[in-house]
Amino acid sequence: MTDEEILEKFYEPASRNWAFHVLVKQYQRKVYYHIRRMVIDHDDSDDLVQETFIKVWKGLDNFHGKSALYTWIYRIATNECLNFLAKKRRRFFLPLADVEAELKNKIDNDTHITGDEILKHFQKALLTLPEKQRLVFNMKYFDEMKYEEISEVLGTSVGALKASYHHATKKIEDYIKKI
Amino acid sequence: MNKNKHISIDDFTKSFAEVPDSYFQNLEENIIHNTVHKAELQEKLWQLLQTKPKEFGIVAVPESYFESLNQTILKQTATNATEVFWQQAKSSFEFEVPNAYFEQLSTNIKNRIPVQKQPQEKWLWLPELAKQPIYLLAAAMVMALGLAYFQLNSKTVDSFSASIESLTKEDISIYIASKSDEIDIESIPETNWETADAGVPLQAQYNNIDVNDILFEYEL
Repeated sequence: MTDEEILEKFYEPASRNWAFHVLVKQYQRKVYYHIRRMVIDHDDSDDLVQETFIKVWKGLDNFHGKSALYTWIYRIATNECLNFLAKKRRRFFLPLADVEAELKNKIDNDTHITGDEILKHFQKALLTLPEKQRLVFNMKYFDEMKYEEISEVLGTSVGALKASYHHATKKIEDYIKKI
Repeated sequence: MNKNKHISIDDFTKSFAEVPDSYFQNLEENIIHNTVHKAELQEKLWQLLQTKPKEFGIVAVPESYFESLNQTILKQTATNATEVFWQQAKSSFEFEVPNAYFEQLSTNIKNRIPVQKQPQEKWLWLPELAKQPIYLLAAAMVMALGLAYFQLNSKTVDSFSASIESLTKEDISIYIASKSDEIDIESIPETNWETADAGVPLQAQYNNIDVNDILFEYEL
């Protein structure tokens, strides 16, 4: 089902709930993994995924289709992540490094994360990146999004995104080489 | 042999010319022969290993060894190690999430979406309350106070809903500044100020600030 069809059904009161159900099914995995890569913990991801879709439900009536539905949902999910991490710091008065250290511990202790040691180091390397750079990297590398789409989500120019991705890969390579 | 002897181009050409044609004629044959011969030897050795493994001190090699061997070789190939790493990293590292979670997720979200009350449900209790004079009096007083309140202010209820669309960064920053004990305005990323397609500024959405709160404070 295309986004246009979903939206069409959503705006009809009789098929509104059904259309939303289809929308959630269509995007839940992408949104979940996008969030999970940012906050690492499953329970936190679960909360943020639900918050994201509740906001989608509330905002969809006013979605004018200026951007793709997919990038609009991603934008909400992205801001949920940034807000969550910012709140975490404020709540516990933690500096940036401490929050990332906590997330790194989760990678070591979570039995549901697969991959050999080098790949766990890779995830830890990702956590050394500034949040926005990490977002850019995740969307480009894992989600294989186009720079134009990432630009819609983050509101950053394509040129800046390319530079950001380049710096991110260099930092990760440097981190891995030092292990 | 004199190491310092100078070899001229002519000498080199001459020596090259001295190679008998038969060498080149046999070269291809020799290569084929050697390759076949090697292959035959390898095959015999492999058969021997399988039939008499203990004689060679090889009992059983787990399949995982060969799997990891391939990975090890890939990693040690210096020329494309970086490329291999990036390919591996994408496919090998996973957050394992059972399918059951995604099957249930949609229901969980649905359960959290507030049910919109029908207008008639809201007013069903009124006839009952109207039978009690004290409630009727209280309702009349609330209505009178409300009316007086709106009259004191120039803004109407209609302007409320209209201004949701026109909230600006400044409106919200004033609001947030007034709540400075709760929200650190400096810590909010600049990108959060952008306007969402929903027509409601992201800042309002993503800091769980109810836009109606802002309107209430700045429109009344």
